[in-house]
Amino acid sequence: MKVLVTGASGMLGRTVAETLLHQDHDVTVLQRRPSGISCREIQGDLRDARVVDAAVDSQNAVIHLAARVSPTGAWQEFVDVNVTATRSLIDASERAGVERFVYVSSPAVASSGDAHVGVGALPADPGQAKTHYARSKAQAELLSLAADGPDLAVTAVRPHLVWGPGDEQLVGRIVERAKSGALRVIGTGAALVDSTYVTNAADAIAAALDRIEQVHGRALVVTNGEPRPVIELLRGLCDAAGVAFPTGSVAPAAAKSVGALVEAVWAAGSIDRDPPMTRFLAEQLSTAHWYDQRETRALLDWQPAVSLDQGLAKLTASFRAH
Amino acid sequence: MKSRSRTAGQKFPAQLPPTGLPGLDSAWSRLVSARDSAGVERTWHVLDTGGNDVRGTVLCVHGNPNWSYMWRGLAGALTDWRVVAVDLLNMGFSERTGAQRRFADHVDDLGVLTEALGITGPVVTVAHDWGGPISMGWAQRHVDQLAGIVLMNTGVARPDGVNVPPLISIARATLRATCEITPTFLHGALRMARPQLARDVYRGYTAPYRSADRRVGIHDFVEDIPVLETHPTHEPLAAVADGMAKLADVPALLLWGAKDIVFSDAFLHDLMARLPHAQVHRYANAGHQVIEDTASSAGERGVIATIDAWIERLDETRPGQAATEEPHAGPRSRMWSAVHQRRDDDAPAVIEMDTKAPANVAQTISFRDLNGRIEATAAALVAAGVTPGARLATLVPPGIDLMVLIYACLRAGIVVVAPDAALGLDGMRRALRSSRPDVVVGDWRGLSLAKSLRLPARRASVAPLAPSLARGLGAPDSLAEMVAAAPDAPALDEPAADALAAIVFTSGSTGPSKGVRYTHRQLEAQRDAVIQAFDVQPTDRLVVAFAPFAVLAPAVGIGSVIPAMDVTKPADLAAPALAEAAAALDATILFASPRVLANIAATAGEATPPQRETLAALRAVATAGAPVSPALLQATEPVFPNATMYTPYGMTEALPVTVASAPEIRADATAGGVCVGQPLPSVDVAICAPDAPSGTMPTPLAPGEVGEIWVRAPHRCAGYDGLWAQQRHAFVQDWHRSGDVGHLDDLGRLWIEGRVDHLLHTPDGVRTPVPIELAAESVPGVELAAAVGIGPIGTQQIAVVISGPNLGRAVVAGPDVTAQVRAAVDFPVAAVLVAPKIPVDRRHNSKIDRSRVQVWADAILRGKTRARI
Repeated sequence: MKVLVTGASGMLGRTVAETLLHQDHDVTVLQRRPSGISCREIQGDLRDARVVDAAVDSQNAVIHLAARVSPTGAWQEFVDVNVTATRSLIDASERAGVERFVYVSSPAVASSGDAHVGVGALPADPGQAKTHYARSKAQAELLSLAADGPDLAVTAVRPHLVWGPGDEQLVGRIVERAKSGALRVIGTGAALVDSTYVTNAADAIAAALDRIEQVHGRALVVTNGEPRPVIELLRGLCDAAGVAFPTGSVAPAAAKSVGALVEAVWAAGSIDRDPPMTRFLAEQLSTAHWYDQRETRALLDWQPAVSLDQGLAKLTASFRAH
Repeated sequence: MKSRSRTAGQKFPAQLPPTGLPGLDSAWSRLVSARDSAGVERTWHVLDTGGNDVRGTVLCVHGNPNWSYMWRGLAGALTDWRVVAVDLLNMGFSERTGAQRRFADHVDDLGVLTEALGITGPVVTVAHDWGGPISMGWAQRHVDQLAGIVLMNTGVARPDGVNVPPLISIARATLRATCEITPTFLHGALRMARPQLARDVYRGYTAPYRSADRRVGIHDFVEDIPVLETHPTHEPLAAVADGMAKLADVPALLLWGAKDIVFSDAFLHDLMARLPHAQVHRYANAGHQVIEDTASSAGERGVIATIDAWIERLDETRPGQAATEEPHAGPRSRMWSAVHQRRDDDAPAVIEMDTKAPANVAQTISFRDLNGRIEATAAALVAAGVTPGARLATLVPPGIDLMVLIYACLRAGIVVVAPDAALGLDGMRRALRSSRPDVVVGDWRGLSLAKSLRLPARRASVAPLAPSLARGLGAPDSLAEMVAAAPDAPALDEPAADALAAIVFTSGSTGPSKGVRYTHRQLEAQRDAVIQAFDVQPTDRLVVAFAPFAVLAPAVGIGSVIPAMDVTKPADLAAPALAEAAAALDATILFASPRVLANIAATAGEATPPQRETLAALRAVATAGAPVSPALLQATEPVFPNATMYTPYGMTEALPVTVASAPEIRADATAGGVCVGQPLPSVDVAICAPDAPSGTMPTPLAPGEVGEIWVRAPHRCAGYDGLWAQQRHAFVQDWHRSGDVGHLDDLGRLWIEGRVDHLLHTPDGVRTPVPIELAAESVPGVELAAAVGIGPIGTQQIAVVISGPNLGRAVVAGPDVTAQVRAAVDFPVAAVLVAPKIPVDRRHNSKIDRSRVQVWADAILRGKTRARI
């Protein structure tokens, strides 16, 4: 199958492209910077209609991962990259006769701030979303699934907290904070959170592409199915990176107000680095977020091949190698 | 009677309810016209599910302020029956006649309506509130059509000593303002629902009463309550109350919300007295709106499901059919026989140690005196008017007085209600309220508890009290004075073997405490089973640190000694106090709970050499309440080197079921669960799938398969008290469904793995908690572990909650302990949490309260920082 993968410069996008190549698909990757993957590559910006049209030309399928994921930034930037570009990619796919479209989403699209305890894929709700990222992803997921039809089958896959070797989003940030002494456990650290080892997420996305007849028109949450108290997950990541795990903790309410303050400061100025704490992060690290995986696994006929412990061992090995 | 302060209300024709009311199928609604007893044509709105191929009609009558809407759930549930639910005239969507219709008119109207509908029977009436007496008036005129009656939170007469409830008094004093001009009474009644009604359901209830002129009927019903004998409704209502005797052959079901501030328990007891054959289910946490209150939470034991199940079994529930006397050979040995046989023996029957000086004997009674006191007390109770069959609650601390009282009641055929102190104060209160004793006998503490509950029971003290205290407690009589004053009476008749003998209570560790009924035959069988289980010989003497067993020694005819201990804190009994008690009677067998044993082992070092010798001389140690762990067995062995260890398994409803010996306790725990040994010869144990519907027993599973434990034994109890729906669930034919989970092995030994309610429903299948807990407890530093499921059924994650003195203060266990627990447990564990303490039940101080642990762990794992366990 001829497959376009957008956003292949990130860890998950790259792993998805490699997984598909391994499955003998004819893969094209699209992103702004060189991906380093040995396959057909288009460098460009999804906001550019000509780039989009050229990319989808003669493809059978599109896997759309490219997104702005920063915890801060102006709303318009999220709209441009996450909503408008998705819209134009879908429209172009329809025009080009693409048959399958996998939108890579996030459980955050259904997060209202309450704990997620063993739930499935709740409806995406831009009105409830707490961050620009979550709201724009929710809008994009809704418009993607609305495009599901007889000619173009669309599905949304929501991997939760993806991590693995080379990850700059989650692992990179946590390790950096731990090194600088800015990492704090929020509350008791007991909140149960799911996470997803990167190759498991990529396998699930590949499975969704393969079994789109079974899953089109709907969203599926993907995780390792091994929720852990958040403190255990953070400690595991720090141990893998060989950095000391902090002993202090802050109350969730305090963390959220600090987060709010920091967000305001970051929004006012133009600081390049990520903020040390945001309300979203405080919430993610202090309330349960774990998911019912039974339906996902049955529909995708997929199981995570790498357990949490195996994933941490691979992460440890990759840190040692560098 | 006050005259009406206004002219007749406005007339409105009957109408159909608006469509779209939640739960109401508009196809059920119809208007029916007929001439009333005065010859005037009237029109009713009724719900009528119709149907041709039905077993009969269920005739539903609402109360005030209500309408047929309250029966919508029942109408949807009863598929084999035609459900007819009337809106009484001037109520709901029936005609507003312009004039008050009193109670007698409503009874006439109901007859007119059923005739117009062509209802000929069989009919089951179902009614609530004012609908109760109206339906009973109809029932008494249509006995030939009647197949059954169901009443809920209603009354046909105001019981003695019950005042008009404040809500009704206020409504009557301000009649028009509260009931008609404003909807205050309507809203007040609906807000009694607990939990509160959903908004759309609430609007359904108020739909026919939106304007003052539509609420005249509500006003009229409140006015129609015959507070004075001159009230026009006094006489017709009294006639219906007297007529209840006509219904003695009709199956009856009383469903009751116990937290009703209008129809209190006294009304329930009044109806039970009028319908002594009635089956009863009292919902301890529901109120006046019992049908709504139990709709969501009580599940298959809610009002609707219970009526459905009861009606299904109507053919089996005809009064008089149930009691069949079992044939038995030879004269029975009654509970009091063994003491009676030793009536000339001066050997000590019971010794009480002094709680203030544990080495001293506080009181001793010989078999001769025990027999004499039992007989004298039995005669005195009967002479004082406590007749056989009456219920007598014993609020007396364990000891000689309690034993005398219990055996006197058994001898006289008085039903012993025994809410033991280990239930805790709240548990005792609930037990006393639900079991409606006629008499309470207690010490001053027990009597003040009874007084604070305002139980309608007569109160008597054990020993004479100071007159002022006796007056204050409302207990003018003392048992001692009653005995002294009793005339020499001829020997009492012996109660029938199948008469009710006692009501005891479940510990409440596995749900709300339930009253459990035992007949004399069942108690006698229990005594025999205990003799068999522990190989008790006539030469044995018991030291009893487990209150429920203390009572059994006189029935066996052997002596017993009660150590100095606080019954509410059994775990505090130390080795020296136990040894002193054992020495006082030269005891041969110890009865104790595992927690007591653990404390004895822990405090063995405090015992003097002679005390240690006394303990070492015991020939047997019998535990009760919870299984003994191999670790505890090992800890106690040096203290009791010569003792055979017996650890029985059973439940309040059937005890003992099995008895395990030391080798069985040590049996390889990796086989899954705790081995409790072989079933006793008189006991059958079956393992069945745990999801069987109430009232059915599935085909038993094969050895090795895990399922719910079912028990059949001659000493199984007769069932629950006033909990018909629960009874139907837990007792099927001769079997008791225990709610415990486990398996039988190839050798026929039973293994306990937890409770049905505590099964772990993971995505990878159902797991039982006990094997996980045993594995976790094998980790050094873990004293107690509880395995609980977190999240929705079917996708639950397993949390292991541990406690121990050196596990640190952090809620999430440290990495090392977590890793060790995960390595020990052969199943994925999402989280290992450290709890400050793991709650265990009060009576046995041993059974883990997993439900409470679960609530705590669930909150913690959601991310809550403060949660109490």
